[in-house]
Amino acid sequence: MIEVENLKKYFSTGILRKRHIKAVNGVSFQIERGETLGLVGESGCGKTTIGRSLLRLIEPTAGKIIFDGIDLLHLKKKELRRLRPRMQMIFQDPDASLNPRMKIGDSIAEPLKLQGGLNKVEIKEKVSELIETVGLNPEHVNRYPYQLSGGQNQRVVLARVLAVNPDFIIADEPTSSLDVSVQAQILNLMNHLKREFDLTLLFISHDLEVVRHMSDRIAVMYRGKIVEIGSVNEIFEDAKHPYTNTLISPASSLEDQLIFEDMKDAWDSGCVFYPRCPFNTVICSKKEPEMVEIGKGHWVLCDRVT
Amino acid sequence: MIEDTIAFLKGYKNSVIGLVGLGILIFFVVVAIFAPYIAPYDPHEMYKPVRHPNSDHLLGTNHIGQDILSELIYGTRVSLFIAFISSIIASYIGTSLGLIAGYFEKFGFFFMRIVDGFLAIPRLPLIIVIAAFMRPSIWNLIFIFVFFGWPFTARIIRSEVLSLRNRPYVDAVRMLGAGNFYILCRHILPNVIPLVVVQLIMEASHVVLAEASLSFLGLGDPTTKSWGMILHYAFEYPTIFISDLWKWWMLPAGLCITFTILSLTFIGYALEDLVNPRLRREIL
Repeated sequence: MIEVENLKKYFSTGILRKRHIKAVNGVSFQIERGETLGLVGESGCGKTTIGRSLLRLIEPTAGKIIFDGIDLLHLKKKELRRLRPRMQMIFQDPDASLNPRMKIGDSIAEPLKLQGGLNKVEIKEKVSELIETVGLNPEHVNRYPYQLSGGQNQRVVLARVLAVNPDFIIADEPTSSLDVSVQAQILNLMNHLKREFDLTLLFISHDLEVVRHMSDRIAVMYRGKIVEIGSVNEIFEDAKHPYTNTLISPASSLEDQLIFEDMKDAWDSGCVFYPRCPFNTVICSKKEPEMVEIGKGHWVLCDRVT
Repeated sequence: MIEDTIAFLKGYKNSVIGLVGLGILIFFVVVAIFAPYIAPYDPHEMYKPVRHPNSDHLLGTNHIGQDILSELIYGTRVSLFIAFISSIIASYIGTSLGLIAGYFEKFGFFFMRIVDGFLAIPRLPLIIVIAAFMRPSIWNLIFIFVFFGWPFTARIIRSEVLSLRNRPYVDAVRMLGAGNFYILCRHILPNVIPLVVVQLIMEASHVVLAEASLSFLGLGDPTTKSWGMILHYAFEYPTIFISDLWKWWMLPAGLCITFTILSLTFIGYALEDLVNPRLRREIL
């Protein structure tokens, strides 16, 4: 369904002395039709940048993105615009994902109007149908986003996304700004909708439990690189990369992170995880490791695994 | 939109300063609109010159015998007309350019350097210089005020658009297949309108003052009756300050200018309070 090859996104700062921040530094993965890929990593590791690059909401520096056989990075603006409704994104903050000056009903009707082909009555019917699908009350149509809770707004966002009949959805921490009880509701709703509408999902989160609940496969990211990718079982039961182990072990301490946060910019060659790795060797600091497949579909970015 | 407006009016109602300002402004607007019915004489008609106030001429007559009260009433028309026309045009241009400059980053960056240039020039002295070289007429005045008024609006609108453009909902709408023009008109413009209104009011009060200054200096249209023009002729009259003449010839025109600017400023303050992001939740 979607195939990403060596995707890179550098942000540069400074005018005279340019410095590059390698937000995403050579990432490759595939997502099959109907599959959910979970993308985990601590904040600032480039998860969101990947999501936004895939949709070309920001232009990637280099790489290749194939969506359903179409090379996204070589599309013209017009073609991209026509293709876009097939891919959708759900953002972290549901309240900010809706225009504060538009009623809920109008927000949901907007994609239908943009696509054209429906008259007013049909749009109205479709809107109430969608509202029911995501579990909202019909009377919510005339409310404004600020009159609804975060969870309700996220349902509205889902309804709007479904209105365009997408094939592929990127959910960027869709529940992290919601209460725990509401989180579960939204996640279950998403799982339900995914089955009903046969969706392909890229689920981005820093919360391992959430990702475990949602995904078929998981990719673990660290500082702009995917360090391990595999099925949910492989990641949780049989993790090979030391970073994955730190992530899933309950004892992973904040102290570790704080110490090595200072060293962030200290080195530029070798393994990204070198400064924090408990098994690091001299070679790790010099030679950049390559992805190795250690089981079917289970890839690890570490030279020491084999 | 309708609910918005109602909530907005409710918010405005609580502002004493805003109501006072609005009251004064409405008074002047009514005077301007119904000037021919209110004014006792044609302001160009000449009677006995330099009369003190009496039952025929409540504020006396000027050096060529024109009724000062009628001049004032017709002057309201000219002053407000110039103020509103030029601030509306300036806001229109400033808003359009501000929207584009905020939305398209590269263009905006270079465009803002031009705006910086405009803003760096002291406005009134330059307006005086240019007005001195142009033939004095209302439309020339309006042109000058528009020419120097739009950069302020453009700058403020641009900075607001810069923050709006990166909201998730704009990205979401883009993913729905919306084009730039659609996003600008449907999703960004409505969110900057309150700012535009505040800016328009402030601009109008600038123009009232600038127009009066220019006319006072003799750079206005000598044949039209504006408050600044009344002050100009009064000031030129030799014995204006040694006699009592200034009390009914100069003072009323000066007070008119002061109160108009005061009312516009009050309204501007009240509106600014309402569109302030910290208070916005209550009015939305």
